[in-house]
Amino acid sequence: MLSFSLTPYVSGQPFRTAPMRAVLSALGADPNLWSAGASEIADAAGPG
Amino acid sequence: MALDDDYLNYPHRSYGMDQERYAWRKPEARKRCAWPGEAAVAAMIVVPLEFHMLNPAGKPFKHPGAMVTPYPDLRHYTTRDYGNRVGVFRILDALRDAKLKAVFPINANMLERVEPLVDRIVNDGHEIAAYGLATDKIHWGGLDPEEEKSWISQTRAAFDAFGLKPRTWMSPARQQSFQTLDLIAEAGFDVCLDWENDNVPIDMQTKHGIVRAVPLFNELDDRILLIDRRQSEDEWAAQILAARDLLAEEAPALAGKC
Repeated sequence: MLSFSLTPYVSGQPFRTAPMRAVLSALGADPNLWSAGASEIADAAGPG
Repeated sequence: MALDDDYLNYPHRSYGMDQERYAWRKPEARKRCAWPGEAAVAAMIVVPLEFHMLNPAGKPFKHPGAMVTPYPDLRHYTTRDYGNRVGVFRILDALRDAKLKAVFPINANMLERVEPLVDRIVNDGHEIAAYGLATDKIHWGGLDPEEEKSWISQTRAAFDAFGLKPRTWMSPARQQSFQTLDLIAEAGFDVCLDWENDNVPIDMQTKHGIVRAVPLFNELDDRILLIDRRQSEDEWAAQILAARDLLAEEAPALAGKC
């Protein structure tokens, strides 16, 4: 799984909005990628 | 120089890890993860909401992002405040437009300060996680066990007061004591974001059942890459997409075990 942080005072700066949006757009458009919260991923993974 | 004889008497010198929370395993030994929609890669985006006070205790160390200059460090204080009053809404808008879900760990002492923001996060369908009591309440080995238990109880109570029942826990500074996992399990948290030792969630053994560690990678953290390592935004973006590409490439070889 892929995981990373977006810190509001870092990625929320206006000069970083374009690259941040580019990354998120690429991930959102990827049909091989499932975006979810932590508990959803934990449940989908199951015991292990 | 010869090793001291005591070196060979280390109590955990055997197969596996030096603790009993989880076992060591190689990637091929993972069980199969079948993500919804037969996706090759699951993606977890974490947006940490932190309140950095002007006078943090700084014990046993300052939380990443804490004040830097002598009191009152208004320059860094207001930069953090900018993130929570302006920047986070740019992130929320971008997540909405890209149709992505995220998890928002929030310091318990911050809930009252940003109630409309919490409403927006919930209404947008994101997950709320508990991010400990405060950025200057750091869990560590020297913390009195009863005090740590009290901090976690206060955190749970603060979220209860807002009608929020988070399952997921992230420790301030992602720092734990040796008993943090037991205490958060006792308080009803069964998912934790402090560990990053695999590419799939790992079950951690506690005195109160399993806590599933969902790995969150410091190596892709925007603050670390852009601020600490002074990388460019283009480098940061390329690193995230390169990680995505490699994980997708590995997925078939591991029979979906990624």
